[in-house]
Amino acid sequence: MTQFIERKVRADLDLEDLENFCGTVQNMSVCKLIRISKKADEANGKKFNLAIFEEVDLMDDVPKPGLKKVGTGDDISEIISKQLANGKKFVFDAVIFVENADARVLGFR
Amino acid sequence: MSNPKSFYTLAIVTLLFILCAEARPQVGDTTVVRVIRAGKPIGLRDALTDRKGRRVLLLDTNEVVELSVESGVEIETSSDNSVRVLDNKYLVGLAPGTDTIIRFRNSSGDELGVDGIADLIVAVEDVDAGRPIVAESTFLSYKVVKDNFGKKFAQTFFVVQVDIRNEKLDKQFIVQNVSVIIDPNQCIGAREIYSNFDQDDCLTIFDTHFVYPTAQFGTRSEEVLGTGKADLNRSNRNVGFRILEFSAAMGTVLSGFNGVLGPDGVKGMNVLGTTVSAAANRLFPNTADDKFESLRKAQLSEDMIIKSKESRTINIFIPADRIFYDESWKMYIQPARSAKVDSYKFKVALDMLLLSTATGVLVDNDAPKVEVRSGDEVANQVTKFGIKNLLRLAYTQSTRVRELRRQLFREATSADVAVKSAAKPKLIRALSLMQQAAAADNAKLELSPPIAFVATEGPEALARKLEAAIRSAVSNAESEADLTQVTAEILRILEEAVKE
Repeated sequence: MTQFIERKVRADLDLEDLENFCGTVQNMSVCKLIRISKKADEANGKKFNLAIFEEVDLMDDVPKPGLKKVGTGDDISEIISKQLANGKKFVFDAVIFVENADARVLGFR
Repeated sequence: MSNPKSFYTLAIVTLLFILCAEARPQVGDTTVVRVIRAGKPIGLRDALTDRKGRRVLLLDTNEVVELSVESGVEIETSSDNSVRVLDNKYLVGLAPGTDTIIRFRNSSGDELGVDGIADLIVAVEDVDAGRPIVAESTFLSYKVVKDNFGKKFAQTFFVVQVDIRNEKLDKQFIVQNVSVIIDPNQCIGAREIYSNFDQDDCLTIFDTHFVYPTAQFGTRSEEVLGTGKADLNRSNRNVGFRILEFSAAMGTVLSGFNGVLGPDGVKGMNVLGTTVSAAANRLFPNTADDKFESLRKAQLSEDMIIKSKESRTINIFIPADRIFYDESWKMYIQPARSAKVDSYKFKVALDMLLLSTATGVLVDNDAPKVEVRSGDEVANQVTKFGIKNLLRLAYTQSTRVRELRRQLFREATSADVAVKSAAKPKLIRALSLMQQAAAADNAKLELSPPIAFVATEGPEALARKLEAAIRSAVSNAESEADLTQVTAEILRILEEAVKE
């Protein structure tokens, strides 16, 4: 049965930090990132991101996640097709916290 | 029948009452308030921040925020001691840690709602939060190391001096982890400071002499002392005292930390200040062996504490063979008088690319030490300082961890009997080291359930237990800082385990 791992991630990290954090979790917990979503702690309202990973086999090769921020006026299909052309796989499209602010982010692997 | 005159009088009075009532704003009427940020007005709602489930306007102590309100609207504070209103225009944060309600009233004194917000809550925060912890590093030249510690020592260790400055006003910084990295990204960053900087030349120096941006931690205390001892045995000069004196004068000796934590579990951050040096003088004036034994004991297992507005210097001893090879070594040891431009450029690049990272926790100046070591609350205060470098480093280390795990697993499940049996002692070593790391007082790893294994178990079973232990340690590392520590510790254990 597929096992999922959830990790809370600080809301103030930038995209590079998020990539490194998720990449470290992937390597250490032997899993792959499948989704990040923004959350707020019910008790204290503190915001954070929730990264969800799916366990994989130790011998599986899981590339480091690549996160791309979608800016105003950016053509999403162009971003995705560029990444696909580079051999990346599209994983998710979500609005998450990047440096404490909402940002639409596309996740690739 | 009613009197028509009275009827009209009543109607007029009623109409006038209605008109007057409408002209006079009531509680629940609204006004528009904007916050001026960088000279531009933004809606109040957009200026608020989520804090403990409430939307508040955050102010640092002594921070002034300008509000733009409609003509005739008065701004009123519920606590003049917490947030003061100046010229009906500015809010000034006064008392950190306090919340104040700001109300808006019309000229008749009626309270007005703002953009759907009943009460504007202003939270005043500690200005200290923005003051950084700064780490700066430089390397000591070969000559300085040689003069202070002797030739053998200088040929064995590359010494990096890290200066950690705590600029916070009322918080002390407890250093838990210091590492240095030779980072080629600095070549790219230097362009922003000096436009004519030759980025390619810099990267070529890196590629030629350092190859990979591997993070380095200080070496284990035993090894530093061992090298000092070897030198002492050949020399009449007392290297041990030179280490002490040097450390007292120039900073402290950092060794055996995090990624290189000794198997005895002794935390390697050593506080060798003048007190220790003086005590050591009394303790071991005679034999070399005693001196080293005392020096070892003098390496306290305490955390290093940097009080507010103070700085400490740490010397990190990195085995020279982890930094240099023959060509780069020649450049490093070349004295200035005979150095060619290549050697000079090499040293400048090395100094520029050398980055240090210190992580730890921030606690109030008067916080009892026991609180520092225990609660999650303190753990949550892990400083943001250096998180970028930490996460970069953690990713690099985790990639190596994964390679080593795969290697061990492949060997443990190999069809080749010789390979399989060779894997067994490595796995037992790894599991034992994991157990020791989890049992140490200053445990970096938390294993639940604890590892239980017997040496008679087969390699496959041991490999599965090692995998389970690593995953347990990782899942118990909740914060980003914890994860980086666990990653470094597991890397140390696996590298130690696979060592021939």
